[in-house]
Amino acid sequence: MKNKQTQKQQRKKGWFRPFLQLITLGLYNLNFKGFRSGKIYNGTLKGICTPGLHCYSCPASAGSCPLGTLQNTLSNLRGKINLYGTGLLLLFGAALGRVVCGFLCPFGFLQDLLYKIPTKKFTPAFKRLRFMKYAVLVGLVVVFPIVTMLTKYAGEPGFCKFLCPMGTIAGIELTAANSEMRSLIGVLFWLKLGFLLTIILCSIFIYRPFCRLLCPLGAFYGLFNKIALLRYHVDETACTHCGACEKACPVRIDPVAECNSAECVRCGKCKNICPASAISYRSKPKKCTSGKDE
Amino acid sequence: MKNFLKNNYIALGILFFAVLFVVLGLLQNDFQTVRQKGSMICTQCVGFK
Repeated sequence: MKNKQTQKQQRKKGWFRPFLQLITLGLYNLNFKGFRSGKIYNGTLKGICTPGLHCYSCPASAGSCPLGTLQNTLSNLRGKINLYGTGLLLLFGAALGRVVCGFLCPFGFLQDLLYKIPTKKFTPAFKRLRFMKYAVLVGLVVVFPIVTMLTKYAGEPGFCKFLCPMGTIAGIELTAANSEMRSLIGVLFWLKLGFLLTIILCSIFIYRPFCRLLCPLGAFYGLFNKIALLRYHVDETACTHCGACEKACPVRIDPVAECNSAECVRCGKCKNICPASAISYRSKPKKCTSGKDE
Repeated sequence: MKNFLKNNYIALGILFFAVLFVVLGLLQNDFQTVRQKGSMICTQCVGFK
């Protein structure tokens, strides 16, 4: 009975995040007619970088990918540095941290939906494997474009080329809507499709495997989790140390001890389940904090 | 206000530079560069030949 009440309470508190994720998905894909024509949008909005992972080659995409922009900048270091794209990434990071992952990322939303499929769930901590996303950030997003720029005429976006699942989804949409594009499908497309299907399959059983293990954007925003303007705050005077938040956390963090961990994707489950409402966002100031916030 | 500044000085410092970068970027026409790049299909990103 008590369990059912808690679930009801959690559902009542947790409606805002999926609602905002849905709105975000709609805003990122404002060019609906692209789905039918298979042609990508090239209007003024394309100059705006979206905060979350989203391929600009998607026919419906209205904005540009922040990682794509960063890689384009690095692969063209002989020219001018794109201060605008870099500045926007820093802006999103310092203001929101991984709130972007929890609320404003379409691929995170897709993984959230897949995890809702009722099957047996696994909650591995990924204590060592989680560092892979930093390797992806340094290796494929930063080093690869620079190295290819120095060795070839033009640099290549390593993450987009080899890993990005949103790029694969964009490729599927382009080939589905535009038959001329199908002749361009090569080995790389099939490899990326296999990788996307693996991620989709894993997302049914494990909470957000891509975000936790491989997403370089999540790794970047995670660096800001401790200092971002919008960060978690645990009121130690209200906390009863019941352990409900730790049990509810799908990424296996102890929110009381490390509420602003770089691994926290801001899903809000700990915040919603807390019977004492001890966990809140920074905008609600309280006297006592945990996690070196004050 | 004083408390807010004291608690968030690192984030505010980064935000200051971020806004500065965005403004300087806009002045050097980066917006159009991003728009032009984003208006072309990135064949590598979607996995095409």
